[in-house]
Amino acid sequence: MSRREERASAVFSALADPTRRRVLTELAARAPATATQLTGAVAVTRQAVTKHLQSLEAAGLVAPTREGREVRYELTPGPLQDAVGWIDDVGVRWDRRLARLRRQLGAG
Amino acid sequence: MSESVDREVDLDAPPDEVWPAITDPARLGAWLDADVELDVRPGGEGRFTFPDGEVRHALVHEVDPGRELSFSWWRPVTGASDPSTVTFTLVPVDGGTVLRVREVRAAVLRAAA
Repeated sequence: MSRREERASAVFSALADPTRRRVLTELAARAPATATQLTGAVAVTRQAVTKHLQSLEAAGLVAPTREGREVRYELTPGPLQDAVGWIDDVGVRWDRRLARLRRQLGAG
Repeated sequence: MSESVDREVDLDAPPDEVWPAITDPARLGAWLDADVELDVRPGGEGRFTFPDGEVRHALVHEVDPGRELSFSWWRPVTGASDPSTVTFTLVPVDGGTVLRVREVRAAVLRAAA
């Protein structure tokens, strides 16, 4: 696999898991956060959250900063923040469109 | 290797009534809330203009009458062009139709480049 394909594959894996997407959404809402803080928000164990954060870091989607004994995570700027927003925005748009379609067909 | 959004809706009309609502540009525009020009044939071109002024160009891929329509669309602005592929699938159910919509974006590949 080329380097580019490896990176794309890592990002795809990161986004494919719903818990990892949830972690990303949480970080988008209130970055930076520690693994402990994130565990409160996503219903899996702290150990699982830590593994997810490691995958996300390996994919270049989150970055850690150490504050004393604590490690906080935040989203890396750019493409991935855009991606999480895209999924939500496009979902809302289709919900609205399909609601209009139902009304328009129902009236026919 | 892309993100996708999936939605589906139950419609009381059968597929042969739903199909024109998807493929006739004026009717498609009525529920997309856009001005639509679309040549509904494989390789056909299209243009969507949204109320906020956003314009997208489109290219039609598959046309399976009464069953499936797919096209890609993108904003023709240098550096902001971001294609995604939209697929409408019509499934007949009991006198009505389940319409499934999937929009898939390929930006993840480019973002990782």
